[in-house]
Amino acid sequence: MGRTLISNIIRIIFVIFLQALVINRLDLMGGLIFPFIYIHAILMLPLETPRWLSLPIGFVIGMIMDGFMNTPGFHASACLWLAFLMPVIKGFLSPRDGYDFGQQPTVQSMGLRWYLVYAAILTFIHHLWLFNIEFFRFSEILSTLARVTVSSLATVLLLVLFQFLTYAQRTRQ
Amino acid sequence: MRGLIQLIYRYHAFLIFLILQIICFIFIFNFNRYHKVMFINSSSEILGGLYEQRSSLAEYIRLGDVNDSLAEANALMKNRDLKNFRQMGDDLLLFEDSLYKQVFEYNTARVINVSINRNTNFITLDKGSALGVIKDAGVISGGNLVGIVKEVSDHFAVVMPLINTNFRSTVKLGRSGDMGQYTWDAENANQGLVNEIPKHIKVAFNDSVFTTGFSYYFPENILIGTVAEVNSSPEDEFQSIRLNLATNFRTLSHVDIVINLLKEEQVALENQVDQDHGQDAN
Repeated sequence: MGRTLISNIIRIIFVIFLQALVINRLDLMGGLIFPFIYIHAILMLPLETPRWLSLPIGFVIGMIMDGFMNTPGFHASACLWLAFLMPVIKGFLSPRDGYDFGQQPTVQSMGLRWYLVYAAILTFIHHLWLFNIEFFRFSEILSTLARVTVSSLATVLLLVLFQFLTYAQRTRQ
Repeated sequence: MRGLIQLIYRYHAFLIFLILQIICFIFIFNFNRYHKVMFINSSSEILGGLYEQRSSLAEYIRLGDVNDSLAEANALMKNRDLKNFRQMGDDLLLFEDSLYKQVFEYNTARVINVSINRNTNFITLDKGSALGVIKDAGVISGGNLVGIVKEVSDHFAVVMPLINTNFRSTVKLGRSGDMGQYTWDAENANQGLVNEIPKHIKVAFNDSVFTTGFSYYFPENILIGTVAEVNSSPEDEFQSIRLNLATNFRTLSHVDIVINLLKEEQVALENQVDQDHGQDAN
């Protein structure tokens, strides 16, 4: 339990720094593609995390991100959707005999296909909400949707890469 | 009562979600309405300090010391430039003060964070109110317009640059002096728009666009950009211009903060007129 707690806290801090200090500085195709890989910290919360816990965690992570990007409330709001819908997606994707206790939502533990679907759906929801709040104009809905789609693809790609980079060694040991 | 508790227990997750989401929207709408960063942002000591660390690493690679001294020297020169002084009287017998009074004061600052790929971009500077930076001060770089200081803490300042969709300013064309309204459409960090230019005005390609002298924030004739494209649609009575911005936000490292020393006096006087005569005019 203690180990899970510490590893989650370290992961949250690391991912926020990575997003704020590195990823935010990338200029991919003039800002058309904007990956938000900090949601990795929320996606990686243990499968059995109750909502009363994951919601405040998502809120705080979002607010810190907003602090870095000077966008009060935008990320926090999108992260709340993420935390709220996570159990729904997990239930929808659950294997026939349910998840084992302590199983982690990683590629190594759940398989690439499970992880891709899990990450893709949640990333898309997060980005959809975030980009639409940021634009706040219905007339731009098509260009926003295009941005959401390419950015989601970039985020999912980075998330999977990130998984292979951080968890490959642990299984080998 | 028991039923109520059961109901709350049953929907507790949704209730938490709703409450937190409402808090988020309070933040979002306050920000959009007043363009005011009401909570911690990169002007705060912790986050600003972090950006500063990262930036100092980057600057080491860019030979920061040379840049610093050059920027410092530049600001000093500008402070002595006669253009920034206004004649206050023709009486040479005035004691203490000279013939001119300084209107614009220049302060150099280092850029420690820039965002260019969002709709609401901001720039964080390493100087704050402790070194005389005030809210609504203009920011220029190498004679080109950068933006307006929006938020100040003791040691940091956050600037709303030209490439922020909330940025608005009246600008004028270099050749004819006709005025238009500058906005940014989030398309490209190198280009901005000037709208509300009447159709009968011929806009020359590559003509320069400057600030007007009507702004409290900047001196007159600060370069904003050059005309790249002129668009006019038949159903519209105005034409719009696409500008190549003079400032390269991607490589921005040092800026000058311009403080209008007479702004308060001017605003106070104009408010006075509004109060005294505003009703008559309406």
